[in-house]
Amino acid sequence: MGIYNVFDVSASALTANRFWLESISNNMANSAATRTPEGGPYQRQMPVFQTLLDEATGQLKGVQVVGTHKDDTPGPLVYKPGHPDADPNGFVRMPNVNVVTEMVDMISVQRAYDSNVTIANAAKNMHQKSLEIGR
Amino acid sequence: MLVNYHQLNALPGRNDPLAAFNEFEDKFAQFGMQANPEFPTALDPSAMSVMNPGETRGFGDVLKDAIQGVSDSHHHSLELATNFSLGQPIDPHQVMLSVAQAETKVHLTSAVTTRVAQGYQTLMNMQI
Repeated sequence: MGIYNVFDVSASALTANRFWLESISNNMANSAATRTPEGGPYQRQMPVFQTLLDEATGQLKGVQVVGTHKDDTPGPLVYKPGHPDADPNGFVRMPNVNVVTEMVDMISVQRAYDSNVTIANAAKNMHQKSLEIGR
Repeated sequence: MLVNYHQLNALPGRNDPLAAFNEFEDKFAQFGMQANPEFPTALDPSAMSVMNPGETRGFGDVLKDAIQGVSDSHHHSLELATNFSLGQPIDPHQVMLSVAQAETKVHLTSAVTTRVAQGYQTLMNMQI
């Protein structure tokens, strides 16, 4: 393992966080989308993370996104008689996106991104400090 | 670029670390300086070529490999930064991390070469 592995691990985590933010922004953008290509209202999406393992050495090399999971819980039924997607009783099935949950997730992503940047900076500082040994 | 070449600039071949190094190596070769084969190489091991047992490698070879690694890393970060500025879909953190990595490697290499040069000068200044 090279001493620069920390940078690669941080980079993988930062990429994963960016992907997470992407799905959050998708959820927010589609929080009122009642139509999707596959039919029905938009279902909330969330990324699935997996640890990245180096098969040859058996060492952990960070994290990766292996795909997105679709939240299948049905969204709320809202009474909107004039809506084009309303059923005969005037109810519309809305996306199961909770804006508050998405905001909380977004704050988590921001904090996680910050933490990983801090770790990369700490690694860089450690390398620079090591050059001062014996000076 | 953020990478600075203070130490390497002191040598000829300013823009190319490898050219600067070749000049540097010649000076050391005159004195037949050899690295201890058992001494662990401090720089990124992936940048080092594999050594066969019994084979002796000069200090110059070790340093040359290391500088090649630093040079590659620097070129890689430069390439990423250029593509990023051209609007390619590259994550900013990837650019910054590769620049930080290249910067750290250059600092490490310049620290090592400075230390060796100091040792050489100390020897040369010895009163006989």
